[in-house]
Amino acid sequence: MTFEEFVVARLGALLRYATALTCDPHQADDIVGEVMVRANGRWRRIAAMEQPEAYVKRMVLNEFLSVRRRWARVVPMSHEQLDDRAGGVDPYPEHHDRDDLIRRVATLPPRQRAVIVLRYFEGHTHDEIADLLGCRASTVRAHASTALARLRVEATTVGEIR
Amino acid sequence: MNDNMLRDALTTIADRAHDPGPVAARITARTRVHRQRRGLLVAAAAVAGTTAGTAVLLGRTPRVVSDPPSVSPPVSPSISPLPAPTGTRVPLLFRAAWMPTGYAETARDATLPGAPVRQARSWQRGDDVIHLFLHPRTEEELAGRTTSTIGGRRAWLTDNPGQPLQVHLDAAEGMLLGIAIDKAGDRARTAQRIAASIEPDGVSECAVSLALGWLPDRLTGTVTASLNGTRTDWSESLILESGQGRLDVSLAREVSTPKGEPATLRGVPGTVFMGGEIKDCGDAVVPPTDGPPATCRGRVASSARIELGGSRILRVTTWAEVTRDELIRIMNELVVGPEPDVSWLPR
Repeated sequence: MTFEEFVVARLGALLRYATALTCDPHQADDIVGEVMVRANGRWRRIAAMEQPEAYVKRMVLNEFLSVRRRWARVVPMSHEQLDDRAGGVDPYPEHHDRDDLIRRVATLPPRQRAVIVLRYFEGHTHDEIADLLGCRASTVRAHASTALARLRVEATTVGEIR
Repeated sequence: MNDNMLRDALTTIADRAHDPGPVAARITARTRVHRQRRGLLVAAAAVAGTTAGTAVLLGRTPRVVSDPPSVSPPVSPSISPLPAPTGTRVPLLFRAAWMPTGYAETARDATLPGAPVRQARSWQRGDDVIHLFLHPRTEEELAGRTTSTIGGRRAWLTDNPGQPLQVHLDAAEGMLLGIAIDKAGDRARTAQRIAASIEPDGVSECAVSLALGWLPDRLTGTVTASLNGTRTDWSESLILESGQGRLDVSLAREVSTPKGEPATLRGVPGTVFMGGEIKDCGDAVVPPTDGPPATCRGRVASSARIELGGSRILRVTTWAEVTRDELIRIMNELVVGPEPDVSWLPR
């Protein structure tokens, strides 16, 4: 698969993934754009891998988690901005619960949010997430547990994550 | 709330992703520029040529990194004895007297005098990184944090172990010093121990061999110097954040094939690529079925580059509107001084 074919086939999925991670489609564009330019420079090596998309997704994840990048860009959001963000995500004002949940997902620290996205959006196991984040599965569980507590997910409904 | 609600919420967030068409167009434009930077291995001997119209001598820019790389600058004996050009040096205001075992400093960033102070220092051990960030104080950043005193300085702590920025210290004169630990674990204790060891520096510098020479009058703003890497392979840059757009000057080891128009820059063969507004996204834009027509937004950077030998590429990249002549003049009048002190970088 050429780089151009990969872009055509997978860019939409990568943008969705990055948007779920960042909760910000503009930042997602930025991260995916940056990653794809870098991936282009080493595409022969990436294309030769068993799962090029998994590798690129890992690059997206690393870029999202880069402290240096966040330091350069992070602008604290007010509650009003968070409200706007949630409103922009969901055009149906009657979905208050989902609005609340989205707001809380957006305020999770990046690593916790990454764990939640990798678990519930990407469907990875804890061991796979540990491999992606370069930490132990127990750390992933701790992140997931803390994040879910913050999201107020009822323990009885999340037995599978234990 | 249950798992399905969480999945539903994440899907809703993901649904907000932008249309890939314009994003693909911007990636295509950027990768085209990237590809144009490959190849063109200019003979190192050509580097000794003099710069047309300027007093800056390339031969005095000892950026040659041979294989095996040499730290000491090879200076051509044929160079005329003009005053040596100087790069950019910014004193760093704080240092950490303690770091966990095995960490080595790998990056320094600092805004140049005249702009609000923003400095960053990074230490690395494998993939784990620790940062010190010095920047103007904002109350928002401190909201929700517990106040304390560490090392005689007022400190703000987070009780969130997932937060890399564990400690903020009052650095006086309206400045904050943030300590961020990338690796999860006992971040709080490590950050507090580092915080207790913070002391004024003033001796260490963020030094690069580059200095901006001529710039169009409209390109003014904050300039940040940056250096990172190892003693044998490092990158240095100056980044101008202007209201008109960003301008980057970088010097780094790189193997790439430029495809821009050939041009003589600083007296040696180089390339110039003129970017601009993205006006035609071609097939990358999917016409909407309703609503206003899709437009491509964004700007492709213009760039000029030469090789200084040893695969060291000197590049000017800007997203600001500049003419070709201006871009060439910016490149020609850049000051490239002696190699900076990289003895603080790891081997």
